[in-house]
Amino acid sequence: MIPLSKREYKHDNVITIGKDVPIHLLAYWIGVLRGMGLTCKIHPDSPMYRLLREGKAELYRQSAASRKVKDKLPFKDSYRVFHEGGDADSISVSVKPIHEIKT
Amino acid sequence: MKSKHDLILLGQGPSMHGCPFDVETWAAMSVLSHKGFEDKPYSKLFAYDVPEYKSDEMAGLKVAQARGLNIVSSKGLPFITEYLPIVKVVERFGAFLFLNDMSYMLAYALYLGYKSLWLWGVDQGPSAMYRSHRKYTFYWLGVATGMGVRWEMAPDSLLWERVWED
Repeated sequence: MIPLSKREYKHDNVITIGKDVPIHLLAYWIGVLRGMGLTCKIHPDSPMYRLLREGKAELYRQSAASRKVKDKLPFKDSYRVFHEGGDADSISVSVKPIHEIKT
Repeated sequence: MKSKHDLILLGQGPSMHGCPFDVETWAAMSVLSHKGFEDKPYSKLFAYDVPEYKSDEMAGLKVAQARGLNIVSSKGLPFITEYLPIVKVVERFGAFLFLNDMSYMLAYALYLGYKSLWLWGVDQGPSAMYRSHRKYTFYWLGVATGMGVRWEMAPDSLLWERVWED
């Protein structure tokens, strides 16, 4: 049993799942909850946490956007791309040459 | 067996052989490397492996190009004809949980709004490698269920076999 506190997560419900439940079945039911549009926070001890961790989708979105910008640059390894927000169609980035970045 | 569904998603598992092809069909590109599947009607083929490293993918690519079929991917493969807008798909569903072709196919079908899916050749087994991919397929099937999208497996699919084992 994983001790979870409702107060800690501020969610409507806490579901505790035994460690012997196969990960693909866990994945299925998390998918059902997400498909229903429910917010579903996963405890960091769960094997699904790494697969579905918050921010993974955002990181992917950002790296895809920076790849798109970087691919157009000459000597692309000499630049770093910084994200400044926006959605999938209009992610906003700024580009700086590496030698101008203060470390 | 007549299809009651909008779309067939076809993988190359053992249950692929009964696929009726009576509605729009999407398939993994390597399906075309199987005898009897080269000349079937496909509206989209999904390519997520580099053909140079995988002989069945290469065989599928040759057939697909000879027939001028639509090849979909979000990877920067030089031969694709339709880009899967992965960033938009990720943004729509808030999850990046992809590995096998079927995970991309399911997510894209949900993204495009299909309401009823029939899955053939989706067995995720019997080999251990395919079994380890089950979580990706199951996750997107769960999302489909949550969205109210009807889905059905081929009657002889092995997906449910030993479902309680990791």
